[in-house]
Amino acid sequence: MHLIDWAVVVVYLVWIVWDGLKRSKATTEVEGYFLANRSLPWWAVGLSVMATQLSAITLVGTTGRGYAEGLGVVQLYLGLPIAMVILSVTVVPFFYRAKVFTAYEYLERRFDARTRTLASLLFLLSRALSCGVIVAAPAVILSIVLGWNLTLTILGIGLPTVLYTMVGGVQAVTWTDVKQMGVIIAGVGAAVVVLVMSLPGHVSVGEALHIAGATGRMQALDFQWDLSKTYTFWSGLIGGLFLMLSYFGCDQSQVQRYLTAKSVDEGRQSLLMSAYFKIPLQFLIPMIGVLMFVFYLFHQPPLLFNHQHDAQVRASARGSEYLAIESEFGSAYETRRGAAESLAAVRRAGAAGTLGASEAAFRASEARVAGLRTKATTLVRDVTGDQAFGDVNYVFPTFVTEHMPIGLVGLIIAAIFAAAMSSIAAELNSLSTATVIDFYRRLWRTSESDAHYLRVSKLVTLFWGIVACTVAIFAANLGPLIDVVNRFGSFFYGSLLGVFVLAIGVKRATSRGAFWGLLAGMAVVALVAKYSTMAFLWHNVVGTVTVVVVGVLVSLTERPKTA
Amino acid sequence: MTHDIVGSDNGDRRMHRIYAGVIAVEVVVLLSIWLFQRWFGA
Repeated sequence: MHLIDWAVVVVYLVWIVWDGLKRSKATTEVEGYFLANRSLPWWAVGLSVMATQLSAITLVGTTGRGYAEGLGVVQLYLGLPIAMVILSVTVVPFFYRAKVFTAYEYLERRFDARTRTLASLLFLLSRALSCGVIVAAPAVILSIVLGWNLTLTILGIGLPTVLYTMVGGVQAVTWTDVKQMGVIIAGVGAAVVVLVMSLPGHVSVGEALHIAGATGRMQALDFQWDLSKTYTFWSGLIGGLFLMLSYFGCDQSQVQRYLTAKSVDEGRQSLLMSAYFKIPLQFLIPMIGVLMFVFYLFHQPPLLFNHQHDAQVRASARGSEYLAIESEFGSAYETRRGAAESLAAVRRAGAAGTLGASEAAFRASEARVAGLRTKATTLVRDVTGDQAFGDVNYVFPTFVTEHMPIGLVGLIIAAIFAAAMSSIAAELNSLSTATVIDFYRRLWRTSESDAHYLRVSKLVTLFWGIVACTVAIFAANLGPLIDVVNRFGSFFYGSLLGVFVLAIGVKRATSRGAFWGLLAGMAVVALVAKYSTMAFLWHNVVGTVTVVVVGVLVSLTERPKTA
Repeated sequence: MTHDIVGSDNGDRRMHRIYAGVIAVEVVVLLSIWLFQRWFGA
């Protein structure tokens, strides 16, 4: 990496840490530390909501998925706008007026202490795990770019974030999120511009997209009703709706964002900002992947973008086999390039008669390239025993470091940092809130001074930072990272949503019903995940429905309380 | 604590217009994506 790129990254880091640390002046008591004294404007909270959800996994994993599969991943977000409207009508005024610190605090008031404890524990477990995965994603990138030790890289990302989150609290999280969102948008914009400018002079953007379309990569919406397919229109609209309702309505890392807003309406508007902008933004990010696919049609790509086991495979008994695949890949690439050039020329000439044949030839050449990549991946897995080996997450960083101009490499690395740090900071802050408010202040030290709780809150933030970094070390070598995080969530999210539906929507629901409903929901989701091929987005629906049905049935067995 | 916490401002017309706007924008965005896919798809 060039010195200028280093300077960009360092300036970004210093700016963000300094900006976060100076917020400590505004956080002298617990309500200020966790809720900014409910004083923040809607636009800042809205950008914070978006920055929290848009992690480095979104940039790295989704661009890689766009490269490998196309735009279909955008369907994950189809239920988001509807979820935001539902939450604005129901949950936002509910939590805001209840003056709660955590979403789970409400469950104790509505049901009982054990429901709150269980829900909060589930949140702590799932968020601590996902926080680790979110730290791991940019660490993987840096370990490729700089050749750093992975553990040191994880600490390098985690420590600055822990520092400003610990010192500045939610004020630091929100105001750094605003700046980080700006850096992310600048980075995404720069990547799109560079990719478009890098197309060969004789291939227009339209022709490039048509070429990608010939491989099915432009299929953003898949209307097939297939419960085993991860991303379809229906899984996104229905499963995604439940996921987003749960994530934005029951997950403390998001609930805490809009609890910091000045008023109920400002809280609502902060959520609705995502409803307007999230789908277009999430369309643009896999589009970077599709444009990278087109880019690598005209520029020789590596056989595999992940070089982690390169030396080991080459030195193994099957090294010659790998070399043979590599050599065949070179000629397959040239054939595909020729086919892509021909297809572009046929489109340019408007020769409808030969278009079908050109597309078929291009698809065949692409299938050969993809087949060789699969063969190489299988070989690497066989030789190393690393069954999770893949290279989807390595496409974008490879493109950035090898093909972006000086200065913009630094900007993209800073954007990836920003995406990771904004999510990590919000999660650490919410983990600390749930720990202190739902456990420490309620169960262990119930009548200490505000200064005591503030001190403990900062120490707990540090503790969760250490946990996240430790989890990150183990999560770094998993498969496509976005799925890992979402699968973590889907195990708990649907069931948690079910409990809140019972609490807010079913007057007759009792604490016993909610508690057993929650346990039943998680058990059913675990069984479905183990014994069926149902895609994980549907697990949210299964979890919610199970909790509501079991919760209502158990509640009905109890005699209603008389006034 | 019961369900009564949701106050009367859910009936606020301005917010209702905003919610309708969100759904309208989503429909337009989905249609645009579908048209985009139809145009550039194979």
